[in-house]
Amino acid sequence: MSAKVRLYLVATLLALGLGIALTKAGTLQLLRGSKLKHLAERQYIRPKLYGNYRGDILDRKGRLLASSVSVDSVYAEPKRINNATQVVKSLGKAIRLNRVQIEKLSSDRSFIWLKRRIDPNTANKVRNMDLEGIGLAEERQRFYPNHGLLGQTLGFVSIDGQSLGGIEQAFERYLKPKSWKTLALQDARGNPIRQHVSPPEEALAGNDIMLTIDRNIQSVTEEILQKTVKKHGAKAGWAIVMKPKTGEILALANVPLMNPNRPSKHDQKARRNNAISLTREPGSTFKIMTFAAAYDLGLVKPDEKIYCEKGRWNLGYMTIKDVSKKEWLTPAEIFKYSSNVGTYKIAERIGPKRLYETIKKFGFGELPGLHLLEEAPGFVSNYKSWHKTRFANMSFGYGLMASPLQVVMMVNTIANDGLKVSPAILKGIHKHGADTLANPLPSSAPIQVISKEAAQAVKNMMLVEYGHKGSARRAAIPGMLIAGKTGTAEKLDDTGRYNKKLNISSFVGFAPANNPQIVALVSIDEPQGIAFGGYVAAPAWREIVEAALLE
Amino acid sequence: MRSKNSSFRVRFPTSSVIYALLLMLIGVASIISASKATQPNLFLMQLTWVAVATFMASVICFFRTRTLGLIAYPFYVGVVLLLLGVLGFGVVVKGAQRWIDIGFMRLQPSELAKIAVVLATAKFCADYEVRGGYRLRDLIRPLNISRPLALIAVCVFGLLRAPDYFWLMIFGFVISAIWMLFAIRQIGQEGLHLYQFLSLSDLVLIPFLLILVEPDLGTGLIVLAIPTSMILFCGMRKSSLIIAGLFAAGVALVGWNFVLKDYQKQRVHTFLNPEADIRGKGYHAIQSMIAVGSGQLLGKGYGEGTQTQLSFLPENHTDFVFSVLAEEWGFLGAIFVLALFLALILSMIQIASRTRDRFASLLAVGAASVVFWHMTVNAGMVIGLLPVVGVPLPFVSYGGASMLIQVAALAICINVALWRKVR
Repeated sequence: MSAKVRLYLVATLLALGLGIALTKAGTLQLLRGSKLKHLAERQYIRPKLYGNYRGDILDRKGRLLASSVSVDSVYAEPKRINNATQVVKSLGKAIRLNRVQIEKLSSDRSFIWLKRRIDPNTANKVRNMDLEGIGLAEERQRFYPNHGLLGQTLGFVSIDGQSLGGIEQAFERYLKPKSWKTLALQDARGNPIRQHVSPPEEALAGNDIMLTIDRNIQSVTEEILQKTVKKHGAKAGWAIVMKPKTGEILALANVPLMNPNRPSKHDQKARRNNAISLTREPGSTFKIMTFAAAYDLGLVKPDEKIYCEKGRWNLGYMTIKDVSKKEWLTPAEIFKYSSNVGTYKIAERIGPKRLYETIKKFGFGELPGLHLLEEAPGFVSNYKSWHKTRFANMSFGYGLMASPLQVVMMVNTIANDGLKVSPAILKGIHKHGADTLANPLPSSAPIQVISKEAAQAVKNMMLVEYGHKGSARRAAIPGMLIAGKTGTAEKLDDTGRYNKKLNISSFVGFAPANNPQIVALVSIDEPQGIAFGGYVAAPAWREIVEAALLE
Repeated sequence: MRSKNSSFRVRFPTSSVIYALLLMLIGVASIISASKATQPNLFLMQLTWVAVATFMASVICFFRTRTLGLIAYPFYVGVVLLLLGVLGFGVVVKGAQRWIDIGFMRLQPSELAKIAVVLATAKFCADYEVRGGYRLRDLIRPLNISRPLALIAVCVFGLLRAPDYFWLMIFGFVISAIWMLFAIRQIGQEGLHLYQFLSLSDLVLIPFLLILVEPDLGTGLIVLAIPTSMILFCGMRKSSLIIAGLFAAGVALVGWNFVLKDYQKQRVHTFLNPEADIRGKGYHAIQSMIAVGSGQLLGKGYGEGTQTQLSFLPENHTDFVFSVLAEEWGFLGAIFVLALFLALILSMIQIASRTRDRFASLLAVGAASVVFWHMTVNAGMVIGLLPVVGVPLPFVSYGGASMLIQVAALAICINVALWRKVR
């Protein structure tokens, strides 16, 4: 081998070695570079998140419905602990530690939670111990001072500040301030190099929001509902109390109550806000729609008589049956006796297209507009797909899905003489530090959906005078004229058939009839024994409305 | 042998020196960055070492190359004695006995061994030339007189210590006697030479084994690799090379199973899969890879390397100074430094190939090997190609011993270039 060849050989070997090294360096720095950079950042950047300071939720008179309180949580920085055994021994006097935590204390982790949300006494004990590597962190905990009051509607907040359902979630953008994240640097021993710069206090506080709910009315409503549900051995009950002119909801009650302080104690079903989310066939209450359309179009006269086929009308494709077997009835009597035959005879005059248009104008099949996530739009199929049976059923409230809130809104429109307003639960937002109340939600202008005369004609049919006979007589208030409609809807059972034993009994109406101040709906789910709405729901309705009128 | 009428051409190897100075400069800059938070004046120490090393280099260059040949064996013997001394009364640090306390400072003889093997191997190979290249038997020389003598010594020792094995010892003496006969016959044929007593393999293995038992596997392997490179460079027969390769594989296998200590095996395991034990043994490797990788193409900027500055990177101014470079100057910086090393080593090899004197040429190759193996092992370790062993990066890493050894190697090369015979 000549010297020159030898030199080239060596140079080649060197270059080869260098090539391998560069390939590896390139893989690290170019291909895996960003991943390793991220790893590096995870080592030296210590982020701190703010933004758990939710604002309060108030009722319409400024009474507290939900608030945030400061609680302490115990954490450990095991890296800084020198004598883990001693620390465990001391801490054991204040808080219980499990075995895993004790093991972690002797590890070289930089941070672990020991106990979240401890009471002030325990916090003080831990604070006084003043142990190296053990600290207390202030956390915010959501607190609902009225326990179960308005529970399903308020929703709740998880331990990590995550809102789940209801007002908390729907209006989170107002309640929760912009989240802040500050960064601190730490070295390999976990010593801080650059400290966090805390954001300004006002930036961390959320806005308070004010609801249209009246805490007293809500409370009374829930009490009466609970009493009624218990009395009739029912499964559940719900009620809505509303101010007719503004559509403001004064009470939105669901029984059994759900305590948002302890959401885990309630199952999924108990957390449901049935009053706005449970859609079902509305039943005879919905006859209001047929009459409203007929009066609006001038298709019936109050004094005419319609033959009701003695309560059984065989149309060939279906047989319509009534509870009361009558022959000739006025429209008001048809409504009063809740005659399906008579209602359908009126509906035939209207026709599917015009009935469908009226139903849609009243807001069925659409979101009512509370801006809550649980709101259900219900379902109304297009009239073009209606066959004769569907049309007939539709006229007396079957073959479509509607939520209790939608039914209340329908009655509200009648109470408002045909003027449809949007429902509201959010009264306004208190910007932090400001006195004024702002409502950022878009509000739609009221719409006249049927003529005033037509609405008054329907209203007249719904009148319930005190001391008079009729299915709604138990709803009557002494010395006051009210308007309302009972409903006794059969529920579908597990086999998908209507079951006479499973009912939802309800009463919906407003008072006083001539100058409506309160619109309300009460529904009792699966009462035992006599299930007529007039018997089960009407007395509760009366009590609730009486209480609401006093407020 | 140099004839009386040959003349010398003084030629200073400017390029090699510039490459080395650039590396030192980069080193000082990196040390400033890595230690600015903890020991801001550390670079002054490094500069002091550079000055001391420069003085030492000029001393080395002052002598003729031939004079280096004269001190080769005495130096080698002195280092071997020191290595024995370390085992006898060295200072134990972290479970390894590597240092000798000589009053004002701690001496690490294994560092000196790196230079000693270069000198001794060059001298040996220059004096002992085999036509057509070395065969394995030329390297090992099984019929050397020292072999039967050693066996006799073992048997005598055995007789005294373990008389139960009397007949085994007697058998040993018989074998020794026969072996001795062959050895004497060989002396008769070849005449009396140094290589009759010490083979090339003995020369290389003695310091290696002494360092290995300290224990210091990393330095030991480097002390083995340097003369091995020199022997390969000056020529071996192809067939012998293949046999040697197979033999080395066998040794590696046996070594893994019987010789390596658990902590050494653990290092190899960690090297093969560093992610398995991030906070334990793999910590150095992982942190180094994170630092290097997070530098990406252009680096984080001088003094801005988070892993370096926040002490996530361990030993950042000594063994892992290359990670600091790669983190702060990125892939481009790493390429630049590696290219500087390549240029330096090639320029040293070039000096070796341009000199006709076998001893001088081997010296230069040895010097280049010193730089090459340190650079390779260090860079490999930093980027996760090799297990983590404490080997510094030549000229760049902080540390007096490393600086002195590397500059000594460079100075030997300069010496060769300066005192070169004219063709």
